[in-house]
Amino acid sequence: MTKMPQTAYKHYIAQTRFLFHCHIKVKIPATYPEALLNDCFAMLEAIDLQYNSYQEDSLFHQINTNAGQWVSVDEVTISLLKQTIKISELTHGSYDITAMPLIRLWGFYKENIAQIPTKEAIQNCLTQVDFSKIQIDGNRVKIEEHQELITGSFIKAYAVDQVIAMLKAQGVTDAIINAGGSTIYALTDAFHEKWNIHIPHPKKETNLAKIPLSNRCFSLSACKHQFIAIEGKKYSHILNTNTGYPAANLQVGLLSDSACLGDMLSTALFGIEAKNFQETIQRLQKVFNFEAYLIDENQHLHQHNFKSLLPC
Amino acid sequence: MKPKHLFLYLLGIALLLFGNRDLWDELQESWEKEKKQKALAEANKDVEKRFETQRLQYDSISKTWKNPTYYFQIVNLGNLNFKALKKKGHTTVEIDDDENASDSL
Repeated sequence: MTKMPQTAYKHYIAQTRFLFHCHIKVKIPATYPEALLNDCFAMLEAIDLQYNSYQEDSLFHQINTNAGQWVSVDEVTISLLKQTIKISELTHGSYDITAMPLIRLWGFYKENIAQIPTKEAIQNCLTQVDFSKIQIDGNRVKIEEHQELITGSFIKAYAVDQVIAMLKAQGVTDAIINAGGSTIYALTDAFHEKWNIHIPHPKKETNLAKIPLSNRCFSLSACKHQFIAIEGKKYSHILNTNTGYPAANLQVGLLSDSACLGDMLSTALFGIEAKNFQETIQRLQKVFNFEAYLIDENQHLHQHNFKSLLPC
Repeated sequence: MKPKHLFLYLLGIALLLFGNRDLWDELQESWEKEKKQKALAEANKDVEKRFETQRLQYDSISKTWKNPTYYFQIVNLGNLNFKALKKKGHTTVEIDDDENASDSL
């Protein structure tokens, strides 16, 4: 006689939609209505339109198109800008929201890139990349002419934070949002204590480790799939805005309470040189609470307080 | 003709018609078939009436094809917000499977 399984699986409802240039999956317990999932995506869509610098009517796009002039924005834009500036200061400019001209120079929006930019072109471009030139006066923002902001490193994560806040307000205590694999936020309760996240190997098509995730966000910055190839060499899509060259690191993983902060910090740490990892982390941890690891170009693991890595 | 011969002749005819059961069945079957075909032909006639053929006319000045039938004109819907018409996502039922981190989007 076959025994009945002892585990009663909890059921969830999930939807995946393409927003912020990636697939975003929201999963909530099946006891909640499908309408709540639709509300989550409506919120993601609204934030995309309002703040994504790639959206023509967004506030960040307005700042870009009116470079050289003061632009009135809302409180959210101001607080996001202040947060990025703070991280730029703490990383001594390795992370910079004004990196867009440099990203264009490297050709991340072109199909065929024949050669890397010249040293001269990079140096010229770096004069436009400077977060300290962002001026904030009350609810008004001004960037220098030829400067351009890019929200790619945090806006999707900001939207995830807002959806998590909405779910909590609706009484949801168990849920997961996986935004493109690089921003994963998990809510857990006493009945479902953790979600498991698989971390990919930086080079191979296997998993490196897994981590339990509970009421926190895991942010991943990597260059396994996001890169440009010039003359047969792969260059990461994340640039070190101090040097003007693509970061050489392979992967950064970070755990934090806020997806937005997590994505900003993981991008910032990916951009630094591995030898400066411990020093930069110590500086950042005086202000922010997080755990992080970095895998450098030689596949060496650098970690600081990252206790959660488990072998697969 | 003697009455006996006449009786035998009629008996022969009756036996031929009613005594041969197969023939009787075949006759009835062919009548049914004919009836069905007639009904089908009438139904087809009715269906054909519901459709009409419209002829497009070529306007050599504007170099466009036009349909003269007024209720078959193209309606200009104006500026549609296609984003608002985006299909809703497909909801699936899942368990607490592990999630994969990735930079593949």
